[in-house]
Amino acid sequence: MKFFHYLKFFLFHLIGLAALVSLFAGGAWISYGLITLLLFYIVGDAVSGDDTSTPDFGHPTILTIQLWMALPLLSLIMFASVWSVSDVDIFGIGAWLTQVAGYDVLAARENTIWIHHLSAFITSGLMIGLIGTITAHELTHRTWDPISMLVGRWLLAFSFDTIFSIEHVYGHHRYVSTKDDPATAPRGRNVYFHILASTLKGNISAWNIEQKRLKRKRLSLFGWHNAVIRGHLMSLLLVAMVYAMGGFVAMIFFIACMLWGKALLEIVNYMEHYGMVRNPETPVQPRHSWNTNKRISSWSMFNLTRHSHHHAQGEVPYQDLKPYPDAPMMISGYLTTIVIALIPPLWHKLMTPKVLEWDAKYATAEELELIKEANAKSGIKAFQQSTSGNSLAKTQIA
Amino acid sequence: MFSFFQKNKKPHTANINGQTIEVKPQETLLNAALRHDIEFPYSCRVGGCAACKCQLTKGKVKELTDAGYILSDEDLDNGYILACQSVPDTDISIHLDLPQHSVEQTKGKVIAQKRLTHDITELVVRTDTPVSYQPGQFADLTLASLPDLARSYSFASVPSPPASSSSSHSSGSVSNRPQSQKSTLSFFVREVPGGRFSGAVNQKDLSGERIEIKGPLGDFWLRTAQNPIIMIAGGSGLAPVIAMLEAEVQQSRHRPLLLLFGARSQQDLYALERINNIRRHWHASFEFIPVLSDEADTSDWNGKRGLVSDFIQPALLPDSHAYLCGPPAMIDAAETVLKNLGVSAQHIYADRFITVDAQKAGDKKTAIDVKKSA
Repeated sequence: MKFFHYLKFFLFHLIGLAALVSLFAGGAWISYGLITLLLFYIVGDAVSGDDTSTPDFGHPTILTIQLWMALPLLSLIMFASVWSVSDVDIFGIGAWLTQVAGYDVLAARENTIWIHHLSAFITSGLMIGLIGTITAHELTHRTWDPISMLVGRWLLAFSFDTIFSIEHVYGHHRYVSTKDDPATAPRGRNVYFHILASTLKGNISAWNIEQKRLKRKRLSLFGWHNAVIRGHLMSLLLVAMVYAMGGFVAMIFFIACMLWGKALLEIVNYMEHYGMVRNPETPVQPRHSWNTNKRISSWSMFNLTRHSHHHAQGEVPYQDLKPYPDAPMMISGYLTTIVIALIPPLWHKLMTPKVLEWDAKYATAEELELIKEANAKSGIKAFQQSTSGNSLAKTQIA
Repeated sequence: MFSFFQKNKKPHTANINGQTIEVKPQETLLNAALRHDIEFPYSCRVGGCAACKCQLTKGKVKELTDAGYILSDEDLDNGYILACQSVPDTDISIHLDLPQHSVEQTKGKVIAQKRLTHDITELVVRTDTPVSYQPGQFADLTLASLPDLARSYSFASVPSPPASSSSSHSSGSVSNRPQSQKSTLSFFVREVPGGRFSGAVNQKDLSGERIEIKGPLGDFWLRTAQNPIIMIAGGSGLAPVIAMLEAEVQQSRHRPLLLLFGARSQQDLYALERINNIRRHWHASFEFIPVLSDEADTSDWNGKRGLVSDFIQPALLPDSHAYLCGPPAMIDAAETVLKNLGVSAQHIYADRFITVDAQKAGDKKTAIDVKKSA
């Protein structure tokens, strides 16, 4: 059974390979692939229950190399994605595949109509998020391991998000669930606004953090040592390579996928800490993240879902994260919750009661003070009513 | 993955402010300290906040992240490291500026007296300057009208958060967390026959009276650990227990709790709503058993009768940590039971309330901490 626990974390490779095949297969196959992917996550998480197992992994190296493999995998997928909208047969790959597989991928590409290109765009962004950002998140936490950092930052370059390797560790983990954290969405915020606000503020925060570090080390701000500048150049290099390989249309398509991938990350940030509060002076606790143990999400996102433990103990590698079944729980698995977040009225209908429950069940006396302020600013009646008047009279010493 | 760690399979030792602990291979200094129940300050645990900053005075560590992200030039030059990002390469010595709550004399005034039972009053004091303490500790109080009389009482609430008022009276208006340089303190004062201090608190209206607070004193506080907790309180001994539990709730550490509260009769029970509130926020099993020693057999009381020590359940034992606060006789009896059930003496912490001799016009307690009493 131990073997299976290693195997389950290879689920994202399998999903990635399926996406790769569907992109080369072209035409309706791309859309079938996308629909299958969505159904697999949404229905899978709905029916397969929770995985709360905590096996002891004796060979963590396997699990690390498995993460590193995300980089060649994502590169291949994005290559296929770019190839699918390009008007040249990059490196003659189409001709070669046709010969090897006995299936005319070039003709299939020719006959791909716009709706399937749209599917390719959605699929590619999802792959950047799933295989790129989530893996990079795990890897760039390993600040002590130069290979993981390198692989992680290149994965992030696929969504213009290398700053994540700075802002997430030295900013988000420090300020999570406080007003000072760009990635924490205050109650009442709309997800589309959060995508913009968190992207801008996250970049500014990373720049400030990096600026301070360089100053302390007496290194020049606009030099090779600046990891923010270097990181964005990595993304631009990818864009330039795509232009060189696939031409202008392919480049525009690639940039759109990158931005969609970045937006996905911000949607996930939105879901992970929405409406929570914390006094920055107090340690981060499991109650400061929305957790989920849904099986498909947990396997394919290798326990990013066990977010409560991750934030309480950011140094723990993913395979050792605990499920914390009594932590605050997200609506469902990640992809389901993403879809719900994208429909703000549905999101607020489902999340407002959850946040109010959080106030009642998890918030400390001190946090209740912060909640009053957050509620007043939320613009949502249910929040405002919950703390108007004296209804919050918790047992406290006046 | 940790290829460079594998050369380093030997455990090292870390000397933290004079206390020597073992650090396992690959373990960070912070994790080792927390594993040994040392009150090491921390917050983010990924090298982003510097709450665990400490000075390396001897030896070498491997730093898991670039400390330059958070520590200043001066810190780096002085050998400061982040405990959460440091794995010892050799045996090391660490100097840590623990939040020393030095004993201070603070002035304030009485702002409320709340009747809790027929003979216990909660005394609420607003100090002119902030007072820091660990929940569980106590202070010596002196009223302006009784200047020669200092009496010891445990803090009965968690320290006020910094720069915020803990008042729950403000209505729905936007609270902008007013800057406050004061602390609100609370104490449970049981009236002792002939007691001048306790008599004044229980009988007279002291609102606005000036009061002096000397503290914090004692080392009765909740030790950081993951073990189940047994708390036993008698009478006004509930004060430090409530303070400790209200603080622990904010830590969400998932420690099962058994709370025994001994009183004479139903009219001597109090603070039940506060206990209920703690229970609602507790992150693990929470069992609360009030035990009455003098309740009339004919009354409607359906709960336990007898001595609290009779209701210490073996279920949680023996790896529990026990905290006892109340009259010495109750503590002695409870200690005997706990030891017989296998609880280690070093994990029994007690705060004995001694009523100062009534002839000397005394009041309730002088706390003597006997945390390692044999």
